[in-house]
Amino acid sequence: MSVPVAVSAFAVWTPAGVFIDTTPEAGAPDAPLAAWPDGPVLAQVHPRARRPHAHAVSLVRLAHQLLSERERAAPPALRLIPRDEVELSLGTVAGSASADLEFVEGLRQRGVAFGSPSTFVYTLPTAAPAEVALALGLRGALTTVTAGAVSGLSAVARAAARIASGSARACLCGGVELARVGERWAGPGTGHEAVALFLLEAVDASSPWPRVEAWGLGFGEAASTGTDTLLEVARAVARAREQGGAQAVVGSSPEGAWARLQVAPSPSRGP
Amino acid sequence: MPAAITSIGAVTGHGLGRARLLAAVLEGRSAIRPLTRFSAEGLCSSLAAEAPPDAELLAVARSLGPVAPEDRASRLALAAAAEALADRDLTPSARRGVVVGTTKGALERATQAWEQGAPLPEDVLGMPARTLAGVTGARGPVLTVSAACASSAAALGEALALIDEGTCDEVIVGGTEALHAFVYRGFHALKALSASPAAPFDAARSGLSLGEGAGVLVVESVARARAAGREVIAVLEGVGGSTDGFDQTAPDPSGAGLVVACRRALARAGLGVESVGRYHAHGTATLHNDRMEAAAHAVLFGGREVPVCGIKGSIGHTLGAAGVLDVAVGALTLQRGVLPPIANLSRVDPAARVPAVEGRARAGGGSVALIANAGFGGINAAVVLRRDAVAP
Repeated sequence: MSVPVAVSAFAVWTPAGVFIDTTPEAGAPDAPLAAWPDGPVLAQVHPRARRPHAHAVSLVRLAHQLLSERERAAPPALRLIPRDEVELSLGTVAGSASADLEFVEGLRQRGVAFGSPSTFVYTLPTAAPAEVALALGLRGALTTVTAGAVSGLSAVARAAARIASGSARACLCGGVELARVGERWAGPGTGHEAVALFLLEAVDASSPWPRVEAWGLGFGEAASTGTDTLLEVARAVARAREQGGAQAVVGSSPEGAWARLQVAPSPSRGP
Repeated sequence: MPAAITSIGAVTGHGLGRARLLAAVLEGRSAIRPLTRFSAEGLCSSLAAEAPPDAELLAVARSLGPVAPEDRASRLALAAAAEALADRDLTPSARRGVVVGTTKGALERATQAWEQGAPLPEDVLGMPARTLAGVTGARGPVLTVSAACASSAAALGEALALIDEGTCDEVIVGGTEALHAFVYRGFHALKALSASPAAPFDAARSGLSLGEGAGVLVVESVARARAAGREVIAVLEGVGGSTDGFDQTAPDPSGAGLVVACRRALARAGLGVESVGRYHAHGTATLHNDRMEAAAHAVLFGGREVPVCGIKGSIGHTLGAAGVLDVAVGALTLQRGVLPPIANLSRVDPAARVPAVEGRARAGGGSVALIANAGFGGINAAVVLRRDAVAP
């Protein structure tokens, strides 16, 4: 079984700004995320999220923007499947490093018996994505994927594989690297913050969206080719929408993991 | 397509090896004892199920090669892998994958770096999976999957998908979690730790006990296992996941989210709920979890008295490793046609009434097991195992 897989929408947040379905810019290296642009934002994360972590709020905002745009722009015939079937899978290396560091600092300042429960709740890589699921009503399986510098690309590749095999119908996937605590960077590497989300969906031949046509993952004999592969995926999707032409995005990490993804225009777009 | 589980390795509070784990679980013995690895002074509990010391882990891991990882989660995973991979051909192959479930990975490497003001080593979460890949010749996908306390159940789902879609011939899939003071203090902050050994579903239970450990399984297609003459311990028929959408820490008390995950796993397996002969519970021994799971059991089985097993009274809550250790015990007891008792359970809570297996192991449990995990963030995962119909 091989179901066509399309990227119906994407959203990228970098130090250069927020980019919804448009070609993203990386912004200055080692800089924090750009301020959220003016305009409407989600009023609250979730009624039961009493003290949501700042990074969870950022992720919820971007995911909300993506889903809103997907639902606003698509014709009725291309309505998104019920949200309770949408999966969520994000690649991350930093994971919950910022909340981890905050919790450790709290223990150091107040004593080991007085850790903050509301911070500890966010010391899981899945805590911020779970806030997205809570706030936006996504009820499919939820995971994070880690594979060095290709964690995000791996999450997208695995989401594509699950949809192509028929075991999932839609997945909000991508990558999230948020690990800044004040001026300090809690995660590995030098501290380039970015969030890139892609909505992958099972589609039929008439769908106008760019396709994910091939993917692969492996380990060993790899050399690092950079860490902004998800920005390259977003650029490839934007190019496939606007100009046509297939493009492969390949990434690898110094630890040995590699991933590749091929994005192509929809066949219905014509030559 | 289902996949065959053909090897199992385990390290738990009961020591090295699946045999020790199985014997203790069948006897209803608990490994939850006073902590030795760090101080619990001032905390609401001083108990945990600790795995053997590093020297013992590294001694058995040596059979996989000269490797000495710097973090305990990787050492636990290697020790479990050494058992699971004994006598297996580990010639490097692009058709062999590694998938590891964990919530904190090599956390101590991060906390050490923060204390010293040093840069964090790359990919702390992914260290156990990378370490396993390095000694097992895996050249296919090498992934770390996190899904809170359902991490390694979700890893099993990924492994099954890699076999099903034809990406891999075999996947070394595991879960590993070391006991960290950080995590212990966090569960203390949440007031989730019990001062006495965890007693899942017991009327007098007062919270969970943490444990540590690792489980490693080898999964491959059933046809490949048969062609190689390997014993199929159990058949991995389906894995399903869901999210509650209720709260970051508390599960949906109705159990609705867990029921969805179980139904998705059964649908993936092509089996009806009537085929399930045993339910291996997440069973953390917290009030929230046990009552939620009792509600889910009632809805899912419609009041049918499907026996409930659970191992967290025996080995504590091993967080990211819990799913794969639940599956290891599920597979081994399914193969033997026996239902293990829930350790430390004396009297079932009338408010969380389930048909628990109490006291001692007994024969039965049918040929299909449903294994459930639920974690923070409302994340649920369920696994369906079937006893292999062909005798080894």
